[in-house]
Amino acid sequence: MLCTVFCWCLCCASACAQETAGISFRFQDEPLSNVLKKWKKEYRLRCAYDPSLCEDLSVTAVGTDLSPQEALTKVLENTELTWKLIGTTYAIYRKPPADNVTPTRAGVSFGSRVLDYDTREPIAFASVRVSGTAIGATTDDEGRFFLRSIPSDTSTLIVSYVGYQVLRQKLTPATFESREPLSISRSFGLMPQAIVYGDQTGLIQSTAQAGLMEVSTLDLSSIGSAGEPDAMKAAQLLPGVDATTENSGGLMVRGTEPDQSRVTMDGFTLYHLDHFFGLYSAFNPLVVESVRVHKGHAPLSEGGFTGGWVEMVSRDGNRKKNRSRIDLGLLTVAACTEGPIGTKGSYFIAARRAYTDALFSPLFQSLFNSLYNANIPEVDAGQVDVFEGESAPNFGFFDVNAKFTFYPGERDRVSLTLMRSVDRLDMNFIQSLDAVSQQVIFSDQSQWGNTGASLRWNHHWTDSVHSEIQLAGSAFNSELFSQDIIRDLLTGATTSAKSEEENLLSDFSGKFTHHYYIGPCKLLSGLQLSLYESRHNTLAEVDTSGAMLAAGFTEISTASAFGLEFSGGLRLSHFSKTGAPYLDPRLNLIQSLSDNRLHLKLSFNASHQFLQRLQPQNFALNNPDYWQLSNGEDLPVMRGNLLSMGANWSHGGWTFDGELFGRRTQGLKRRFVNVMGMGDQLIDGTGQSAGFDLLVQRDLGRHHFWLASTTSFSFLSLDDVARTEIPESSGQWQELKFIYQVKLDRVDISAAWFFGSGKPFTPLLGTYTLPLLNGDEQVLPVFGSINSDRLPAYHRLDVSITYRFSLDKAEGSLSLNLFNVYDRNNIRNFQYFAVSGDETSFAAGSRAVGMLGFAPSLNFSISF
Amino acid sequence: MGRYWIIGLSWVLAACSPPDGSPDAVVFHGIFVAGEPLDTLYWEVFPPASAADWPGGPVATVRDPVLQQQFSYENFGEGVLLSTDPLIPVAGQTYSVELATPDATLKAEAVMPPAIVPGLISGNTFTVDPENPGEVAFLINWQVMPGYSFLATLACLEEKPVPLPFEETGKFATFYRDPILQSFVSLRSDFFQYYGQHRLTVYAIDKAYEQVFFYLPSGARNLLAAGPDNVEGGDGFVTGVSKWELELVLLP
Repeated sequence: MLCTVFCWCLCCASACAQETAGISFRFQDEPLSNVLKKWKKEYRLRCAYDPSLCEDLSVTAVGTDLSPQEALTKVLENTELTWKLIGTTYAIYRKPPADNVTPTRAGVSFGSRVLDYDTREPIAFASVRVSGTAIGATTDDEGRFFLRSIPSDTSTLIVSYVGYQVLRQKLTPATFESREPLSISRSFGLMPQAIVYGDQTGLIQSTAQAGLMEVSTLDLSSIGSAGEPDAMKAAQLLPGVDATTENSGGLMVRGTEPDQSRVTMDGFTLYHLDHFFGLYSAFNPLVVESVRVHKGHAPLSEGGFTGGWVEMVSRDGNRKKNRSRIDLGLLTVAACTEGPIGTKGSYFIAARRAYTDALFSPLFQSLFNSLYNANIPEVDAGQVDVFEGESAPNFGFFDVNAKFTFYPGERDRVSLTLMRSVDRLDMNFIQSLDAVSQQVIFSDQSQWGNTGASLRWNHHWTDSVHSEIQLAGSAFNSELFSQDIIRDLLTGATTSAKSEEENLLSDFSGKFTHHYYIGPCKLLSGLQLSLYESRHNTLAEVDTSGAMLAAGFTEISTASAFGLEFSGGLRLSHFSKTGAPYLDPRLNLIQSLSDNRLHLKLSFNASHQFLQRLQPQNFALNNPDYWQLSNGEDLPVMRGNLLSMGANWSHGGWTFDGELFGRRTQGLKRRFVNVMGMGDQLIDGTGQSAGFDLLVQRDLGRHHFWLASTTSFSFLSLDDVARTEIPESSGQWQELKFIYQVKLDRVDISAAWFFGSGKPFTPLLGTYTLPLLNGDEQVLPVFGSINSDRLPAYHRLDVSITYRFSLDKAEGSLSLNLFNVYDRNNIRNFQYFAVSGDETSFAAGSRAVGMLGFAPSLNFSISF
Repeated sequence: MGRYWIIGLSWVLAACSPPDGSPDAVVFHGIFVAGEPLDTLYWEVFPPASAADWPGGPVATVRDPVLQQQFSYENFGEGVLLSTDPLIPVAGQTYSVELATPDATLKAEAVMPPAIVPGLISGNTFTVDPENPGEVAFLINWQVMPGYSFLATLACLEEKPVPLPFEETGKFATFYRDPILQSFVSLRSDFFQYYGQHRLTVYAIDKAYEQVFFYLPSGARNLLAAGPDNVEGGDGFVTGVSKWELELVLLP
């Protein structure tokens, strides 16, 4: 049905797209902007240009039945403008300066900003390099960069950012005077004053720095997804990041658990990262502008976690004009509006809501049942349809985001980001357990969500010196109530088990960072003060604790003339609950070779983490995230050491990026079920992992292909259990991701195949009988060693087709996502239960808990 | 370039084979009763099919801390370890046990509770009133032993037992099937089944062994719960108990 609707829409829209006929014209002093508008209307000629370039330009020309190329050449021949065809759009821009401009200075410095050409929003994390040298920089949240020791004032800068066209910008002495921002554009944009390099980067991009990769948020719709494509799922396409959990609830980076990785948006940390039990990210895809994934080597200014760091920057809002967008999916509707605030600011407001509480679509029922059955044990190994009962589950979620950005002066920027996300569940389900003659009434009323906010002020004292003050706060809270009423069908007796729980983790932090140069060295230093509060209230206990984390950090980076870049520094923290200081060193080396095509990289860092999530989210079992602050006793401070080394080679559209890594994390607290004789236990341990990440990427204009592979082993040394070394629950020997994307004129097609070797699990081997002194016998289960067996291999294929169209001034897209196309029955884990008998004699049964099968979804988006 | 690509792809695909991991477990269990020869210990291997491929089976060694002797228990049958020179455990001692298998050594400790010290006993003989089945026949107590629970068993020693004249008899198991915390038992007439000589045995057991009696296989949401296990390097349960026996006679 979905395919039929999609094809029908595709056909209708394609019918609207007509080929451009031969252009005939006769102009006499006609303003150029009028000419272009007229051709757009009459010949559907799509042009992109900066209106300011066309001011005061008039055209006097005659032509008959010309091609668009000939017509444009004719009308622009006596101007300083030229054109280039990018996709189906003719980009009109100022002719680049001639190559014979004479340099006037050597060893110069240059600072400017990188902006999105269409919206004038700053591009964070863009790479700016001086062609032919190892000199380069990465833009900050404001899109600012600063380069030193540029060979001459006529050098060429190469600006690239994932998902954007690569820009080669030749500098001129005049450029240094004007310090005009560099604008880069997406596939339909244009490159003023620049030469288009030709390639457009794909969805992900490796960097010369060890463990650092960038993810595009522009083409998220082309990622296959059961729920909704989002930045977290895009990050899972990277090597070293687990993509076989089908979950947006966190990243498992290089053998770590999700609670070891920090996810921030505009500076505040989010502790609960998903909606709908992992199918949707807590981050509205419309909001996220830039994403960087640090696979373990986070900057010293961002300490406090031992795993990875996902750094998200939200959209500032269009500074040119008001724009709005509406996205409609099968489960959610989202909208955003953005625009300028006067001449010195912009706003961006977005909201998203699931309508699953009002409309029980087949997709929602399938997804909800799949999640429910994955978590509620079924004695007869059957699948429960919770929508069959009298009371269907009432589930929904929403999130709202807002960002306001002001530029009070040339050198100042103030931004305020606000976010709130909430999930609600209210369900009552009656289940008959025939095997044990029982009827169980499950009730679950829960609400959980995040609140986050940050206020940031950047001030640039000069091009090379700037400071930032950031106030950020975040809170995760959940209120849970569940009750099981068990009725014995033979005796009529009822028993009930009730659980009430309230969890809270909040932080509030203030941070000051200062960036400056001393000679050839760039220095970063700063101070941070964070206040934490955690609360875990149940019927049995009230546990509230607070702590203060104070930290100071400094980092120096420099580049030598031989292409060697060095950065290193220290972070010193003091955590009030333990009263002890903690030192985090960091070292990063990059050696550029072969005309900057080859980068050798080495990174080491140690980090400490002062809080842990003790229980994984567990749908309907009523024990979602429970964060606790370290106290140095029963919950130790975690310490992680990570060493990475590798190489990045990039040339001619090919990219090879390989990294060896080794990690050791002390102070882990892991929950295991059925540990020998101890039941459900939290056990201290030390985690170790090592492996090799490989990324092979091929960008061929419209075609993008990449292979991401991770070969690794990871194990955990448990302090309290005799069999001390066990495989990590998340450990996979091999994970592969093949992704192919093709961008046609109006249609994007992508296919992604995921493979993961089986994850470890603890098997049930059988039962044995223990004779008792009173003459009875007790049957007892025999579980294998912890994580001693492996699940079947995981694999699936996702296909996505996106059709883009224009309706007057509106642009839209229609996406069909086919998740798990060949309906592979992947196994999440095995559950075991007693199926018959009494207290001393029973038979054990098992059930393979499956993951999501084939799931199509359709998303419609329109912006105007 | 194509050659490198093929080599790289081959390596990646070859790496998809996970390393071998063959789960297995050896279960080992036995109960040391103070004063009784320990002539049998038990073992079991999982998956069961592996036992056939394991000629000779394992060998267990028990170390006596007082005699400084080792007692060897060898495999003379499927799942059974026997000793021709068995250990006689003593109350209050701790015995270490090792089970050697080709792949691993399982270790356990049997901590013997102190000897039970008798207290007040209402008498050894009781004349049954046929009209009063609920009459208390014996009150027996012993010294409190903090940290221990007790298990009582009752056995008729008569070769040709004569049933009691009550409608319902043998209620002892109803009241004393599971371990008790208190250090006394109160026996009514209808707790017995027959006239004649009986033996009441009281065992002092530790808390770990008490959990075996109260183990419930179904945990939260029917999931199978792990059972008690105190064997290091494997599965199973080894414990020690001390006992006190008392003979009681019911007369018509």
